[in-house]
Amino acid sequence: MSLTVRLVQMGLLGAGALLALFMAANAVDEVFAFHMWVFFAAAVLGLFYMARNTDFSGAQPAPKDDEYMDGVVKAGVIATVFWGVIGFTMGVYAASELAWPFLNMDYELLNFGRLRPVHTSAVIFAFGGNALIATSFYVVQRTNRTRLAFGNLAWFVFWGYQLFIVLAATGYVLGATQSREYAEPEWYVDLWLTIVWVAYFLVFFGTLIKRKVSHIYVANWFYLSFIVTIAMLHIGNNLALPVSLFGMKSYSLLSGAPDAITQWWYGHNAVGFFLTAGFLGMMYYFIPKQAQRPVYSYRLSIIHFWALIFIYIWAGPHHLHYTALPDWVQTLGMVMSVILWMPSWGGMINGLMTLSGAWDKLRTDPILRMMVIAVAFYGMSTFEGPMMAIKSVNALSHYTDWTVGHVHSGALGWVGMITMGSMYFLMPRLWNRERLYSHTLVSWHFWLATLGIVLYAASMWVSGIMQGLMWREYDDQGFLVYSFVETVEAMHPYYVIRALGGMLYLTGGLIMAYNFYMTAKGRVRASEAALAAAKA
Amino acid sequence: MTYETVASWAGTFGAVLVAVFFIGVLIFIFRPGSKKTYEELARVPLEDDDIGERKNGST
Repeated sequence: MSLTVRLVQMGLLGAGALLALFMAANAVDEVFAFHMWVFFAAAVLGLFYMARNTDFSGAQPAPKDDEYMDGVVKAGVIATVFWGVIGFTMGVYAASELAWPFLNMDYELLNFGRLRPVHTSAVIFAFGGNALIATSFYVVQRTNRTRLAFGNLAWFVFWGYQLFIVLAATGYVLGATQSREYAEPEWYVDLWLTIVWVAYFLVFFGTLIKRKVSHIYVANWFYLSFIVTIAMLHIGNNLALPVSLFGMKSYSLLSGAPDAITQWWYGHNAVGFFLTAGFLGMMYYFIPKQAQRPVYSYRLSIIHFWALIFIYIWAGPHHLHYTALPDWVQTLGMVMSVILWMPSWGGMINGLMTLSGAWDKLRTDPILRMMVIAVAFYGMSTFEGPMMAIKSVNALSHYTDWTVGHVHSGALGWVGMITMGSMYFLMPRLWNRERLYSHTLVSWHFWLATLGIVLYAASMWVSGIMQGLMWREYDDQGFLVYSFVETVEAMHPYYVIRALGGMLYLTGGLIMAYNFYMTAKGRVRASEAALAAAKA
Repeated sequence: MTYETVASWAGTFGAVLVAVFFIGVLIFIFRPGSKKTYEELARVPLEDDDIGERKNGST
């Protein structure tokens, strides 16, 4: 990269540092001041790094167009594993607080209401988001046979995204929140994410533009739809007016039912495009790769793509059944959710049938097993979801733990398992190792995680349906039979089981982190090396 | 442009447009002679470069 470009980058960082300093000096509240100091520190650190790593002699460095840009993918894999463990831990702690409330220590920073968004953002945006960014950079280069576009902009995307995560998480704990589901960060953090996301789009789209092949492989379509739609949703959902340019608090431009449906237009499409479309991109690349089989039907993948993106965008209203939302919008949301079952199962079939001719590998390959159970959970939760979107079912399930169980069978089962399978695929390849440190440990991870999900989903089914039934139980005089606190008391055992399920899942995550560390060090577990030698 | 015009447009022409687009996709992907193309495309992930040969392919 030329020296001029580097100097412009450093100038931008310097200007950013000064702006952050100015904002911090004028801040009207402590959280805003703290966050501006974080911005300042990040900019100064970036400046130092650049100053130390720039060749000021003006010599033109050799172009690297003949190799893939994998450094940023490696960083993404590390971040995915790291944030995964953090996010699972926060989940286990929050779940334990529900089972044993003394765990909040009567300390406001540990309050469930503050820790829950830390957990959801850590697993969705930090774990899932880093996995999506890393795998999309890996896949777009390989399926298009070209290096990432715009040089080090990919690194800006990576570090900018980590900064967003830190700002979001510290904000929640300190009490800065817009209270919008899965979009809690306040206005200035949203603006920062917008900048990072536009850079992400430029890198991805620019790489597609300079591709060396004629056809854009379907995984890239899914990744691109994820990037574009999240940009649209993020901007639409976060239209807000700050109270002061130097303070954290803002108010939504919309109010009442329009505000509610905007939130769930965002919320459900975050599920549809962040947690589904992006991870389907992963499925369409890493499953064929790991199974060494072509995609079962490329035609089906095209139908899957267009049907999914056309229908998902309408499903949001099912989160607002029996509310002030107009009745026809509720019905629309319900019908579209039920139709959505079809493309979802089309995709599931396409993923599973990719194994045709390679089913025996499930017996010997724990990584493939992980990916396949992810697709199985995708099928399960995309059947459960449309069912729960039906108004009469929703009358029982809404506001209960059933919803929580449903979300987690999708998140732990589909998103988590396909991500961790893909990470296991990437680790030895990115670090140039022959194989993973241990396949036995992958097997352990697989069974711990699967058992954890079963405990989680099953306990939440029982708890949720019980809760719903208790809420609607009337006696023959027309009085409610149960008080609210009686339902809470009845749910206690299931909360303990749920926390246990989370602990199993977290243990699996820790095993993955250990396996990853040893793989990066280039070690192979002794007994497995001997076994491999004996077989060879 | 009022809410009513947008809503009625979405409920009539919008719906027809989406249906036409979807049927168009179906007709396009089942066009005669495309079977071989799609069989090749299904193999794209298997044919990219592996470790050690990180060169841009010419294909």
